[in-house]
Amino acid sequence: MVYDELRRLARHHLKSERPDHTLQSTALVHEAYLRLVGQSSLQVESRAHFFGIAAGLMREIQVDHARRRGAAKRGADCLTLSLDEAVALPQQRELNVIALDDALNGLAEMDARQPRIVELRFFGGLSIEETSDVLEISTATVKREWTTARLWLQRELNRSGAA
Amino acid sequence: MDHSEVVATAGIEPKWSRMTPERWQQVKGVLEKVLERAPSERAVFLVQACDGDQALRREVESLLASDEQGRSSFLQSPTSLRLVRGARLGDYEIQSLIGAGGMGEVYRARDLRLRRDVAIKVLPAFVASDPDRLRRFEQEATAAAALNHPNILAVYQMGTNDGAPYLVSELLEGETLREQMKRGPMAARRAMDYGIQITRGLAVAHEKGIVHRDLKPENLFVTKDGRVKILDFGLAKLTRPQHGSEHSAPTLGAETEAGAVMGTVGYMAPEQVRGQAADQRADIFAFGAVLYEMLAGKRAFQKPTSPETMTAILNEDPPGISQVVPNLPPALQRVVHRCLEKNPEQRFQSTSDLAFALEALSDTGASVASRMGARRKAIVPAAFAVLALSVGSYFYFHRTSKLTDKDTIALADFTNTTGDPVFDETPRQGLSVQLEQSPFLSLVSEEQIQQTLRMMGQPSDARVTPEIGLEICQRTGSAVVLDGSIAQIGTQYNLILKAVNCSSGESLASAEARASDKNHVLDALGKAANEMRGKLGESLSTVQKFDTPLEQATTPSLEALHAFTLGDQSLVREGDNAGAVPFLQRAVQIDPNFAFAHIVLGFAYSNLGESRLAAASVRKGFELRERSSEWERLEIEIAYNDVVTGDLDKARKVANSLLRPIHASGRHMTFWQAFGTISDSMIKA
Repeated sequence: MVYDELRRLARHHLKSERPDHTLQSTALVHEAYLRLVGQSSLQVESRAHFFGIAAGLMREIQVDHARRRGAAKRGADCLTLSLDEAVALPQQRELNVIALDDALNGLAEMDARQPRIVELRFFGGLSIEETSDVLEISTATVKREWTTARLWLQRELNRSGAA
Repeated sequence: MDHSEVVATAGIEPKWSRMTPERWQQVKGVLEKVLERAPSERAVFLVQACDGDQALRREVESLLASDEQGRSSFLQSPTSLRLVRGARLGDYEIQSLIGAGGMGEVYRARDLRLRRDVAIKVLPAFVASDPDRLRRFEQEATAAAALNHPNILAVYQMGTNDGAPYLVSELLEGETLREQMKRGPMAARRAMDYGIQITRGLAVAHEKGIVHRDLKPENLFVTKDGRVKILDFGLAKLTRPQHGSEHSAPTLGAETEAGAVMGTVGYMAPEQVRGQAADQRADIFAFGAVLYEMLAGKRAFQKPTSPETMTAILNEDPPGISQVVPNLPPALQRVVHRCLEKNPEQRFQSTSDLAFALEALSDTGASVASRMGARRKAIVPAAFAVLALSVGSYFYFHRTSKLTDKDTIALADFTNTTGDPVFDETPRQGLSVQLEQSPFLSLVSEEQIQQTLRMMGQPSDARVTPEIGLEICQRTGSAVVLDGSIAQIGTQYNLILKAVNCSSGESLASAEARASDKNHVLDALGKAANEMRGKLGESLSTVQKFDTPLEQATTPSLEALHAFTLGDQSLVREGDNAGAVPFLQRAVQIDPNFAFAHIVLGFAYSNLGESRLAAASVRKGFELRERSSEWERLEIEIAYNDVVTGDLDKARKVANSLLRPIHASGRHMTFWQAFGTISDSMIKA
């Protein structure tokens, strides 16, 4: 079950294949699986709980990967992943995962709940409803928090030139 | 370089704007509430919600703006609602996702029954989950569907799919006007073409009582073959930000709702800024702002923050468009600025009038554009002891000229030292004709002049000496008083014009001209007047362009002009129609080709109930209309349509579309009322 869910998450992340996308779906899943099972204290209580953990792992993996890739390609831009799966959109943006990770840490200093929502929604690929299940808050709250968090993150990334 | 340095580069630690958790809660709270408002209401709401906390307002504004900069796609999560290729929605088969960005997602789809490609916009579920919003959406969609016009996005159908309402519309290929304008200002011809298309679409909607309320470049779509389509008609009222990104959505390539917030402010009419009821004239204002931006390549109202922008909308005129784009047809400039009047009463009152004005400009090119520009002012016979000339925003602003946008000029009587009574009134009359040729000058009503004289305790036929002229200038809030003198030296005549700043008493400019004999006085006057136009700041090119020599504009005969002046004065100042007739008859007797005198004579006859004589005179004037100044021709045309052909609608359209009510109201009304054929309400209609 864990493996299947991970595959689903991975597909979400990698739906928009990019030419320079070196992080393969299967590799991501394997890595996530290994990290997941490698956590000795892991006790998955529910599907919702699993997603919470998985989303955090996905974040970790992607950020690590971006750092490694940045290191490997000396002086090159950080790894960028398209976060918009609307493939045909001309305004499609790429996102600096490392900068986003940093910004999320910044957001965490102001707000406890919002970074978790972003993690679940963005790195975990959960829907509003799924996020509301995991966090046990209303969907309306998830929407509101997600919207304002997104605006703050977007602004910070714009300012840092990372978006 | 070594490994660690690279890592540092890759993982720059940006300086996030930190605030205390308490402050963030406050910011979030305001932000959420602002996002619940319709885009057009957000700016106003934000100012109220922040209650003077400028830092808070700036913070929220900057967050709202970030979405616009980020072009909406940041952190858009996948959505389970997205439709895949081949999915069916009623009779439609989904082909591909075109976009997501405004309100819902837009797909390209195939209408299997009618075998055509369509666009389908699927609205966010939160619209569907709110019965009140759903009802309003349906209402508005119905309204939009009722608008069948090539310049409005055609809505074919509305339905629901798994509880999500969707809208089927024609499929457009092209880009928004916003996208197009990013490439810089466009040629006047193209801007007018687009403008005409937009006004045609708007006119149809307005006729049905539908006001867009959120007209802006993002809502105007230019197809590949150059057709303009108004988007989101009637949805403006409904539009709200989506709260979940999975529904976040798309108008065709437009920015997100949150991003639209601040962008919209620049196109709001003053009454919308004030939160007052907005009717079609608010759309006309927004249209003016769009037209301005197309021509100028920059927004009519753009300040660093939205409160400042709103303040500008309420209190400031946009930079005169001629300062930005020097070679625009003056009549086009006037159309733009008239749309942008603060007071809805002073804008075009209907979109069809506006469309008419633009089409007239476009049909006939620059020559007619200039004709209309000049003709506008002459709705009533023009003979005034004092003219307050409005120097519109069209004047080039010279530091030395002391004249700025919206300054007005009061014109005093001439000082006549020749002893020849023909020069008592005639030079002033000639001067007014010559100055009125300037597309940059507008006359205020004779009624206003008389009112001022009455307030000063003067009889209405009082001679306006330079002193009285100065006082009228001050009382009417004008900037400059213009007076002149004529003197005889041997057989020669010397004319002097002087412009004085009436608040400081400072002399601004003077012009002088000499006539070799009496027959050349009008010619000399014309030259002096043109010199003055230039010195007051009008550009040389327009002075040259609108320079019909005085003797051609009216009559080559000084005596005829003199008689005309006396008759016209009697008519306008004293309302003495019977007393005016003999003078006017004499004028056309001396110069049978004096077109405008025929018209004014017809005017007097009409007031006296002599409809047959009135029609004969007006017809005569109409036949001779080539022998009149350009602005006189407009009046002749109106009079002809009114009293001869009876085509009041055409007469009204000509009048309404070309008049700036602020200047025209008094004269305009007098004209129509005097003919007794049209009611106030019709004029306003």
